[in-house]
Amino acid sequence: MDIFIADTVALFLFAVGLYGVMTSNVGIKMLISVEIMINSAVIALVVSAVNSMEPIVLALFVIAIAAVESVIGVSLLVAVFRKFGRVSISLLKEIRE
Amino acid sequence: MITESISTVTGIQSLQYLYPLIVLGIAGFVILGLGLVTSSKRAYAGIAFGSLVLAAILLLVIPQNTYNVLSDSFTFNQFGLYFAILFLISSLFITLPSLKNISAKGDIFYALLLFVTTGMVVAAFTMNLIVLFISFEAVSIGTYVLAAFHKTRRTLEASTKYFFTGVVSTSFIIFGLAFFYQAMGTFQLGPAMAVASKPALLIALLFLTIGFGFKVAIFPMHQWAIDTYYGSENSVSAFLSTGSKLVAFMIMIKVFIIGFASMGEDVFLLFTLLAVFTMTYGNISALSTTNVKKLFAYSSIAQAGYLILVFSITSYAMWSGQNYSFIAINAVAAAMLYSLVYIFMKGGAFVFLNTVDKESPEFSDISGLARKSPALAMGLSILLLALAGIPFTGGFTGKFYMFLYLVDVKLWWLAIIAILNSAISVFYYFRVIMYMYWKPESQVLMTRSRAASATVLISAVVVVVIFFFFPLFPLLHGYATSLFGVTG
Repeated sequence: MDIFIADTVALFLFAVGLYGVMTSNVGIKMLISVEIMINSAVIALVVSAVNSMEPIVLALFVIAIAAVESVIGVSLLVAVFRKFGRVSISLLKEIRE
Repeated sequence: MITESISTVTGIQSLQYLYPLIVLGIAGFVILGLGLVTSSKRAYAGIAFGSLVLAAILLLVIPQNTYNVLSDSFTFNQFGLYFAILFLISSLFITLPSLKNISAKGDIFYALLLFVTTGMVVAAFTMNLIVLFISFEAVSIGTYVLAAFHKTRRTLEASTKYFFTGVVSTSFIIFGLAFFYQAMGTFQLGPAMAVASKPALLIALLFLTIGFGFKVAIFPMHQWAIDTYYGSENSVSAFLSTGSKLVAFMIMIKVFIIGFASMGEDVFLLFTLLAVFTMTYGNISALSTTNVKKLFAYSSIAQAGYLILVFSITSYAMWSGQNYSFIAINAVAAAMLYSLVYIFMKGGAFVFLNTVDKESPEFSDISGLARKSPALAMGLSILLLALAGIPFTGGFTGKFYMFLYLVDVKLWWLAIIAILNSAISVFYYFRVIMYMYWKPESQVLMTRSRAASATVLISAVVVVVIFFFFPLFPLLHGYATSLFGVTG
């Protein structure tokens, strides 16, 4: 039952993050929303470590990978800012004509 | 089920299995270090090429059996060996042709390529979901950077779209893994997994499908793929649509065929729906485009639809209580054959764009190519015919076995949909061939990129040879058995 409550909280946080990614137009805001999604998944991982530590191991790796991903994301957005002048995603329509 | 002798290797003996990975990783760092001394692109490419070949040789001298190495973190079997070789080929494919695309920072490009390839080889040799996830992320993160290479407006747009969809898909995968653990109680994919909680497993199935579906670019999750393949450098597009896509596909084979073996009905319904929509969407959209690179991008989505038919076959065999292990091995062998052909035909097609002196050529830009360079036009025509699945090319063999096993499990209606889709695809591939052979010459110049031309021709030859090389399927059948041998 406890796992059920924790899963519900995690899914709710996940939905919040997903909503943020889908509705936002600003790169940094999207990055923060993605972080919320990943961290909600970490909650779900940690609460499932009932009998062994395996999910905790994965959770540690996930935290490290999330850090790497935000590094890549911020550096991409910096490059976008230098080329386009803003970090608004709606500016990116060179390909779609 | 099949039982095979599985040896466990511990301690210093493990090292011999890890040499290919060590070679690739060290070569990556060597190239980074060399970047401080020289700026010769050819030196970087040479080291990258040499280390990829060396890694392939080291893989082939590993005794071929199933070994669990480093307390089950790695599982070396023939299935993994085969896919590891495929990933090395997909990297070798772009090593030399990409010399043309790189103007600066070649050291970073080749080092990243090697690091990504290391991640791919790790993914091939593990049945542990933790290691699978980490290697998958190593591939993803590397390719985000590769897609943005040169930081022009086009590549930045391609990479930003790829990055955000990729990161969202990562969080779906992590969530799916959490629910998978809650349902199964283990991250080790393997024999007779006991299901503790069915609802949790259902949520895991949904989340993992969305997560990996993004990377393979199946229908509702395909939007990034068109923009990214279209916007990136040609050789990076080739790599994204062969290596990076097949890694995700191989992980899906491991997760959905071994991990979700108990969920025949749900996997079948989900993947059949996705496969039908993916094939149809890719083929219908490709009909209306007049841009060669965009056409390849759409056809790459359609091909993903044919690839994921393997999940329909295995899960239907499970659901309808047919001879599961026999059919599953056949289906996986068919998917392995299709992957091999896919690397050559898709990679060759994207690399072909490197020989045209224009960023993203329209059909009219390559018209009359047959008179300018007959060999190149012939090579591309063979690759396109293979993509359409015309006989006397490997594309036919790949599709033939896939559709054969669809009929074998009595999914004849799905086979008919797939064949109809192939028929649609013939139209747009033939349009390109028509432009090359029966239209007046265009003014666009061809570049003298010898590496790219050679790659196109070699892949065309290989695609034809695969059709005439009949013992290949029985060989792959044996390799596919090793995947299920672990479940014995």
